[in-house]
Amino acid sequence: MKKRNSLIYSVLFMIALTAFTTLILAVLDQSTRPRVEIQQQMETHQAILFSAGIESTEENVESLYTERMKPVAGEENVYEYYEGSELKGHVIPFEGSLLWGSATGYLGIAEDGKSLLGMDIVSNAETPGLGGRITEDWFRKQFQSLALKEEPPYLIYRPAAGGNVDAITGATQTSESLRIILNKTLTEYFEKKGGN
Amino acid sequence: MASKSKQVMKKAILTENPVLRQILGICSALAVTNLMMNSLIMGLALTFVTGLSSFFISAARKYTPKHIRMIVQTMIIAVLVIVVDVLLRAFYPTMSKALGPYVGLIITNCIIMGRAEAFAMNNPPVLAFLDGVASGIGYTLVLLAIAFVRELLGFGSLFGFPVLGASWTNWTLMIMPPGAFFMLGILIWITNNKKEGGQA
Repeated sequence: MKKRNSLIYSVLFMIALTAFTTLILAVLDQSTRPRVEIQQQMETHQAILFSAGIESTEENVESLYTERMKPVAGEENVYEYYEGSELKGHVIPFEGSLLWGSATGYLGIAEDGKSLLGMDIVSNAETPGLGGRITEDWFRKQFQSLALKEEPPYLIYRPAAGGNVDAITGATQTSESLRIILNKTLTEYFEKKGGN
Repeated sequence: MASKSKQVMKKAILTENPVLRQILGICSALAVTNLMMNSLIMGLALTFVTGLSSFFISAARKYTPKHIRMIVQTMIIAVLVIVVDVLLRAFYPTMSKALGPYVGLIITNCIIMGRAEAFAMNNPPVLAFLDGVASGIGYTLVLLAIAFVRELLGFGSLFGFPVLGASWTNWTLMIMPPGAFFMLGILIWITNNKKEGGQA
């Protein structure tokens, strides 16, 4: 009993426990890594397709992706979207901070620059059920074939005058941060395009 | 022994239900109960963690120095939570996304630490395991009960299957935080009334 409360025993006990538990976690992490990586790649491809307005399933995501999407040389994560051989638009990445943390996603813009093809969120740290609802279908699908305003800001939440999208009730801060990020991404895209 | 384990189970699930009687694990009970599927997976994950952590903590209790027992408990619980998180991410990614940060936050669920301190430190491993599992089941049942009403009224569906038809108008309030507070409050009120009425 006395031995158990000695400093040396406590330290050794913790070292042994830590080594053992770390070993378990390391093995688990290594053994599931390939699976997780495949899933992450698939999710990214699904998000890119969704941003171009195409819904894909786990079965057809890879074939659709190789058929419709072409990475733009020299620009990271920018894709050209083709239907047959016709260039329909571009999918560009966006990132920025929402209410609780940073978020990343893709935005699809039609070639004429007048409308969006779609939008998808890849990662976010918002509260599930509140800000986390930006990943819900009804919210994301609003951006498919959405007519943009002619001047910035390109996106305005209803019921403000000229609004073209709905924000999320109970997640005003997240919605507004996302709108700012998207408008900024669009402005930069059009400036670059106009400059070329 | 058999009757003792039965008693432990009954206590943890019914008479001393962790959520309704001990008011533990409220945070996640409010947060993930807008869908029955989320509640079920959350409940199973918590049952897994509470059961196994109680088992290991109890198994190690005779070798654990008293003054560092909390660190040891936290460590065992943390490892199990990470195991759940990794398994969900690898084999059920959609659920992992839906539950988001709440999986990691299982570690802060007071039920686990509560059972570890109150029960597992003083009882043999198998009994502690039963107690942990039963507490987890008690928690799961309450979550499912709340989620049943919230999903039914808020989405018109159960486990994602539409049951109330297209003419049903969704009570958006039910899937928002206030819906959770109302439901939990009503449930606690009913069970507390029943208990007092039955014993008086």
